[in-house]
Amino acid sequence: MDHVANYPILRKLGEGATSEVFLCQDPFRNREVAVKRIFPEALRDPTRGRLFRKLFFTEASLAGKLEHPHIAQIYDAGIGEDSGYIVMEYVPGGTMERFCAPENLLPLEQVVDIAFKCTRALAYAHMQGVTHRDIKPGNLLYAASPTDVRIGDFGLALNVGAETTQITGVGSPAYMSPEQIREELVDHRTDLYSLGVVMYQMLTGQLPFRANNKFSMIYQITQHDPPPTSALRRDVPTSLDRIVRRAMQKEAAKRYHSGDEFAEDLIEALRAGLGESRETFGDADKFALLRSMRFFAAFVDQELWEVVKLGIWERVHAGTVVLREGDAGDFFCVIIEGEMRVSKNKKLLTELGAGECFGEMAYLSLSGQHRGATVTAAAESRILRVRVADLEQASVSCRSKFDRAFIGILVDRLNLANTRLTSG
Amino acid sequence: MTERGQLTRIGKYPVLRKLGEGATSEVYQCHDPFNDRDVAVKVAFPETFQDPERGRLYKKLFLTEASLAGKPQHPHICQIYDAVAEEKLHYLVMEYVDGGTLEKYCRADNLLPVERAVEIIFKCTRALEFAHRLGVTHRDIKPANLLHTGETNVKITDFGAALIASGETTQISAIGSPAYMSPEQVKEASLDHRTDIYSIGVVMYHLLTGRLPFEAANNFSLIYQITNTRAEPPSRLRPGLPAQIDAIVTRAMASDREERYPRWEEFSRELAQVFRAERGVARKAQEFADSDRFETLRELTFFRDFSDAELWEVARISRWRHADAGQTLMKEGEPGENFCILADGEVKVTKRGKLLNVLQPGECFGEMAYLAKKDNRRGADVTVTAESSVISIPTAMLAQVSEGCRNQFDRAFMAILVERLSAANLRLSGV
Repeated sequence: MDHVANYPILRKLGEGATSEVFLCQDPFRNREVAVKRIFPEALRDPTRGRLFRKLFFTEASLAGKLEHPHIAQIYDAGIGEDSGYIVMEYVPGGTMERFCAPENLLPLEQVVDIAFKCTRALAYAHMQGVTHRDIKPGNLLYAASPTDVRIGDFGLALNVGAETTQITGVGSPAYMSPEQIREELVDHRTDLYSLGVVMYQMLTGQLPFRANNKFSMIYQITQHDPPPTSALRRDVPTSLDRIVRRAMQKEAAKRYHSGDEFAEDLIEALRAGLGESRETFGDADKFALLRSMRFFAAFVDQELWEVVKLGIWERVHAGTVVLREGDAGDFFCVIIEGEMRVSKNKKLLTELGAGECFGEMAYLSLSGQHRGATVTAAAESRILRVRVADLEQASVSCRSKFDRAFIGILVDRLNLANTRLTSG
Repeated sequence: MTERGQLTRIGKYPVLRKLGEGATSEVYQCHDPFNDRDVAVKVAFPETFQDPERGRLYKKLFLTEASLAGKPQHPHICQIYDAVAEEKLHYLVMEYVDGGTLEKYCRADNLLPVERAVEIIFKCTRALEFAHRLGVTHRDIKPANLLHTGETNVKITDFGAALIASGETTQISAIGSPAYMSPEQVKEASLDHRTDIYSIGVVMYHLLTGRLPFEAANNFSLIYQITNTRAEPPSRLRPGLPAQIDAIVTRAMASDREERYPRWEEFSRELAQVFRAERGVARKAQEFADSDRFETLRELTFFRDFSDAELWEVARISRWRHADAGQTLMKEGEPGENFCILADGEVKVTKRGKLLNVLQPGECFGEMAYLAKKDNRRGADVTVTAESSVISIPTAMLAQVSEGCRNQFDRAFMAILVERLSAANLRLSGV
């Protein structure tokens, strides 16, 4: 076999009970994709095969509408009498399974960063009416580095049909919520439970419930409370203990109501300090900072993640000159925290605080201007520097949001100027 | 599955019905279940590629058309979504267009009004210029390849004879339909975009008169006429056609391609001007034609950075009107549900009788109601001072255009705001 559907195979990536995954070349879009081929046997199964075919496209096209930086994109899908395939974004790094082994755990901060991205991505999918139903380390992929996470196999929980929703089947119930175990109707909160289990394992290197057989596991999931994570890894702060415990509540109503609420607690825990030094900003931290700023109010999550990636994050000490009158300008800045002083000919023009931007005329006047004033840090500050050239590489929607934000600022300034003109 | 006549499914696409058949392929209307839309699927006959003489050529043509999959879109080119080249099955998945081809308007008893025919040809010339810029020559322009999507809207399809410009020249014979072929195509000389210009000229002739420029009992005689004679001017067959139209058709169809329009741009500009002069005289009675809108937009500085596809979007959502001197276009305090760009003429902006500004063509007004999200009431009056043409964009309609198009508006407004702010600051510092 050298093709799946019309995608030439480069190599095999892996195999499961009902499917195998290949790295393929998309011949017309010139990119590598992961193509999952569903085994013909799975489709021939007289009862499940038919159901599966029926639900296949509903599921695939629903999941195909999810476009989020932390969800592996589904590009295409097809199914015939005895063949089926799903074409997905290729995520080259591997899965989180690697970081569940006790000898290979990630630093706390990275685990929280990964969990944070997953909660925001789940919140987005849940808003679109899509529940994953099979969150587990094997479905959390990463690209360049462990924190560059993508949730895979979205909406395709069905493809395992045989594996997870049937306890008597092959899969492990370790990440299933109690309601899923009891085969009740599930909603988005089942994903939040499963993510809690994944966090537990990535923090401690152990599953919350361990058993020698499946039935014992099922019993524990529905009846027992797991030991707190801090009992297994001493440096886990109580804040994370609390978060995992809340996510893993047996009763769905006692868990986080949404991925967003889950994310808020994570960022709070991160900010309170995880006992490690925090010289650099983590992605989750950056994201949460931007999310709370008025300037970025209209940006949707996907666009904000772009800003996290394209911006240059800097700490500046009091007295540092960030930009100088007369210099050529090819970037603008947003103040994350602290204070800046704007002066011209050594005369103070204005002071700027968190959430305000400066140097934006370099971007706005398309001709590329020289700086009209000097900006100096008045206190220890954090700034986000955006190079105009980098912004040009961003998506149209992200650039549009910057433009809209600047238009808002320009309108305000123009109104102010006009008021001063007419009153003076 | 590849057996002819009983296809129920092509790859993952269930077949709904057969749409047509050509020499090397047949076309089906299918459903795309993943994207939940109907598509047209063109399947190449398997023996086509096995033909010892032309097999390789057909394969090359297929791949050329397939390579357009995922390329930039144009509103008047039928989009290619996907292409599949399996061992025994080659097919292209394309945008499905409901509405038939322009063939039905080539009959003498069913001709379109002249102005509409010119509009359609105008859109074709712009679309082919777009293809030309991608390095693609169509080489098989004929009414059957121009899909009609209503009013004066068309989509060019079947780039199956197209070749992407490259060093080599490949000879193609018997692929085009001789009636629309250029002399150089008949002679099997090397081709460039001017062969499409010629063929569009023939289509235009056909749409205007209901007759082909050359008609003959056999192909040999037809080919002789194409290469050796001149067609009668179309006005001979349809009295009352403006002289400019005769001139345009004749120039597009010049036997010597050096005498044709050297570039699509000039061809479309002349088409747009045919009725512009007339409209200038009796403007009030006239609707603004799409070509007129498009050409006007393209000339205004406000739209300088908009792409063709984006300009067509603006043409679609905007409302156009003429206004006489003295007419009030906006009143202070009224809610603002649109903004305007002055296409022609002059208007003044006043607040309580005090003159704030006089606007020239290309300038916009009423945009503050759109930009300042909180208060959308007008801040001033706008009155016409000299007979004007006004383009109005209802802000609610902006939700219907592409993100790229919306962003172009924002970029244009940004530039204007920056300019006004520096002017205001200058005045402030001068006081």
